[in-house]
Amino acid sequence: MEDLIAGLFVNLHIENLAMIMVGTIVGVIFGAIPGVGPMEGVALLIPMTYIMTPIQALLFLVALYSAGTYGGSITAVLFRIPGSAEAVMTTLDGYEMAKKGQAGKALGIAISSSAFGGLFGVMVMILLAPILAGIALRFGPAEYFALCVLGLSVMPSVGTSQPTKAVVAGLFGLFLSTVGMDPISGALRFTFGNTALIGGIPFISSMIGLFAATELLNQITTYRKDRRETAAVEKIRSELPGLRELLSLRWTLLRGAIIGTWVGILPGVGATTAAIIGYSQEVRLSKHPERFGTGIAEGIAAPESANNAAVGGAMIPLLSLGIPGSGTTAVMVGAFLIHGLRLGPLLMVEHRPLVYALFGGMLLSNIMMVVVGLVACRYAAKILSIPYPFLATVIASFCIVGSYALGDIYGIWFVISFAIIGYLMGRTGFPTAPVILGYVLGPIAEASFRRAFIIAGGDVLAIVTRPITFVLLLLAVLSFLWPSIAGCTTKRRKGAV
Amino acid sequence: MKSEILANVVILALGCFFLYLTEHIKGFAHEALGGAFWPRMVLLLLVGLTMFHIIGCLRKRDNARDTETPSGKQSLEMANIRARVVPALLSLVAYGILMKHLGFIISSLIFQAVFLYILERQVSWRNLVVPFVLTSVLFILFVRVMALPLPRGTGIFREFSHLFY
Repeated sequence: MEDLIAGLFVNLHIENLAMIMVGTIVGVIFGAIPGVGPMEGVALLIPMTYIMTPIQALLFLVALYSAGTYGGSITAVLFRIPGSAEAVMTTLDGYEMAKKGQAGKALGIAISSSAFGGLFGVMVMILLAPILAGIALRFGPAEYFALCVLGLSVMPSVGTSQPTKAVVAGLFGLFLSTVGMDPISGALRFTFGNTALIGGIPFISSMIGLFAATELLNQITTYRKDRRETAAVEKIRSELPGLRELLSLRWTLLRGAIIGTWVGILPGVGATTAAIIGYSQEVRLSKHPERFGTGIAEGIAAPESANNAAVGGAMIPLLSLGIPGSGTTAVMVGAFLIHGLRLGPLLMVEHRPLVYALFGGMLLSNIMMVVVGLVACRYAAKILSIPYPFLATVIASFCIVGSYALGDIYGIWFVISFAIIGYLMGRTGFPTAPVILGYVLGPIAEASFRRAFIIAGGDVLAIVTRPITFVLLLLAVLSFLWPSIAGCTTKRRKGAV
Repeated sequence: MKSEILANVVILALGCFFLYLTEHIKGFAHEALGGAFWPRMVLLLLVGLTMFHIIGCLRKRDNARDTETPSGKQSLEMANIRARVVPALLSLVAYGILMKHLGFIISSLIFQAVFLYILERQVSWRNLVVPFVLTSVLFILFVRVMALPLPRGTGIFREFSHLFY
């Protein structure tokens, strides 16, 4: 505790406080802009940290990471554009809530949930880092596979009341994830000789197309020149949820934070996977799963709490073992090396004051994120009052230029292709949300299963009977079958009456 | 219902096609499952489920009454699809093609002016001012602040782009 208090005092030096504030502001901006996210922000700005002291540099980057993970929710709620991959699940309920004229409420829930999740993840990191890192190392390929299956098991309930269509959409997402080079054997799959597809279908470009551009086309389809633009957008400003509302969401926030922290600790999976699993588990545990995707508070609170908790979680293996817990922390390894800090178990011993200053800085950045987020949302929300033709032009331009920002010259074609696919899916009643589940979890599930199969020498029983794997798979089966079981039970009760 | 059945038939056809392609995925000699295992499994599930869904849709269609008269909302949507959605998509495609040749600045100005006209169906001073303002904002944000290498175009357009970045 004395170390943590000392760390907080270090952060109160004006230069360090300024770095946390600047990192938070830059992070929110990077997170909000489609096509760039916290990982790109950290990668782009690491060279700028040459001129800073090690503590200033790391405070700046972790603040950017935290705030960038939240920032994507702003455009996700207001424009259905996931500003960063981590916010992709927030679009589902956030945008629907905004369409009902409750954009301020949606943004407020996003900020509060992000702050809660972020603070939870940091506290877990401070208290339990070495212990949890050790447990996480026991997660092998079989456990990763089972975790992904658990995440995929809620496919029938996501985004629609027609389970068959949802599963078809999810299988489509799983299929998309197989395009490109096979991670185990290196074989090319479904590339048709096109070099653009060797690395697979780029995630951000396809999500911009599937969500933002599709919604753009949907809005244009129903556009009427005499439609009043201001009906649903009067006086939008972020409202932090009241105590009563926060208390009603307490279990959602806590579950999201626990899931996010744990998923963040696991090397190789980050905040995006955490948001997806957090959302899917909330659907699974809800008494009314059909309400998800219609604009409910839980649909925003769960992924936002999870993705920001994953930030703290991802720092746990990085600081205690030198193993990055996510893509962004992998990039941050470079920052440690630049400033002469050797990552590994000895970091806590050799640089204890710096590590605790980092802990304190992460606590402060989550609090500052609320302030910066409230200000950013007030100005961002005003954009909704712009007449739709101009807003549509802005969104279309950001979709195209944002895809270029990813450095992929073919990104623009993926945006357009997925816009057409998403539009046709919408017109024929297929939900797009399960596509993300399949697309993100598919590669991890496949690679983990095949590795587990190799390790087990081809014995599938040896894979599924591992204790953690067995429990997760059992939960997945129950979760998948629960809607049908519940439906049959309800019909029998009605028949008996 | 017709569009739903058609969509399912297309998914079924594509599923079968990609399933056929999995035969040509090369395996790794020392791995029992190989690169074709997972996509084959996914596609088999997809094809099976889609067939099941088609049968369900056909049964529903036989039982349902035929109410094919389009509502006012559907007529508006069809009119907008022809008049706005298709031109908007074509303008996005054209933007993608032109950006490589004309550069970011000129192609953005043209695209935004055309896109606004497609939606508003009228020419006003705003249709000329907004593209300049928006392109400037995008330029400052992506080129100056984030130093991203947006296309400069070819020939004379490249020379023009070099005046700015």
